[in-house]
Amino acid sequence: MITPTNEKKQIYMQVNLFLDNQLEDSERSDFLTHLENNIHYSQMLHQEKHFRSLFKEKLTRTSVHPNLIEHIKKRVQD
Amino acid sequence: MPTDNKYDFFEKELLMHIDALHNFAFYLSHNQEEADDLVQETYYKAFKHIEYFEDGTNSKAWLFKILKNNFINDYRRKSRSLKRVDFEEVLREYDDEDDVDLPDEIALDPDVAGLILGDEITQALKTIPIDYRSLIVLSDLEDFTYEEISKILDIPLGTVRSRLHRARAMLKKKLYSYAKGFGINEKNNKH
Repeated sequence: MITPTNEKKQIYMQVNLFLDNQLEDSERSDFLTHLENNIHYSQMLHQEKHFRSLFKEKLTRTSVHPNLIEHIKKRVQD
Repeated sequence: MPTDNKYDFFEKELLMHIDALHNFAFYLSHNQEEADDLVQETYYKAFKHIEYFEDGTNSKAWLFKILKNNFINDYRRKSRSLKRVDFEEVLREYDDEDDVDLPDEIALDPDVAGLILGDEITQALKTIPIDYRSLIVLSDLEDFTYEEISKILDIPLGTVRSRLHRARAMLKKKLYSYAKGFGINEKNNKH
């Protein structure tokens, strides 16, 4: 039996697989049809895309000191 | 060998990934010095075995796999264990945190998510177990495909899929806790 909670979980899984390019052609086509006809799909897709872009934008990235690059170059040439 | 001049190839094709590689090393080790060492050793080994790199394949994924293997070797050296260990065993040693019960889906409303700062995202990522954390970095930060992640971490595709799903839920759960600290209540997050 498909409960509302299960349906939401299923949509969430499909949205993630869609964004990860992991759906087969037929699944992708079904997903796009659902996206046009079911507001829950478009809402969740919007939320997930927003979250992923926020994550990429805001996550602290480390930077490499130029000395480390020079050290690596020197080490491989020795 | 991908080119006649391995130094050229090394500098043009491999060193260009150093920031991404360092970032992965940092999120594995949580330590700047250890990340520097891991990156240095990775490049040294990559250069030493450059003839094994297959022309036309993904050089970034190749480097990430070497780094992951270095991370395991470091663990073996530190633990003075001569027995063979795989990534999964190392992960279990690093994270003795019990598996948490998670919902399959956590909605994080854009308005709520907008309140969360970079420091909180970084902190939330640091607190989730390393096997999940590494997947998020490889997928959502570095844009590796499931197939590439499977090869880098030596885990089946199905495990990538299920673990990544769980990793994102863990991250959102942590971030939702931070958002609640800003006074966001339950109903803001329900649709």
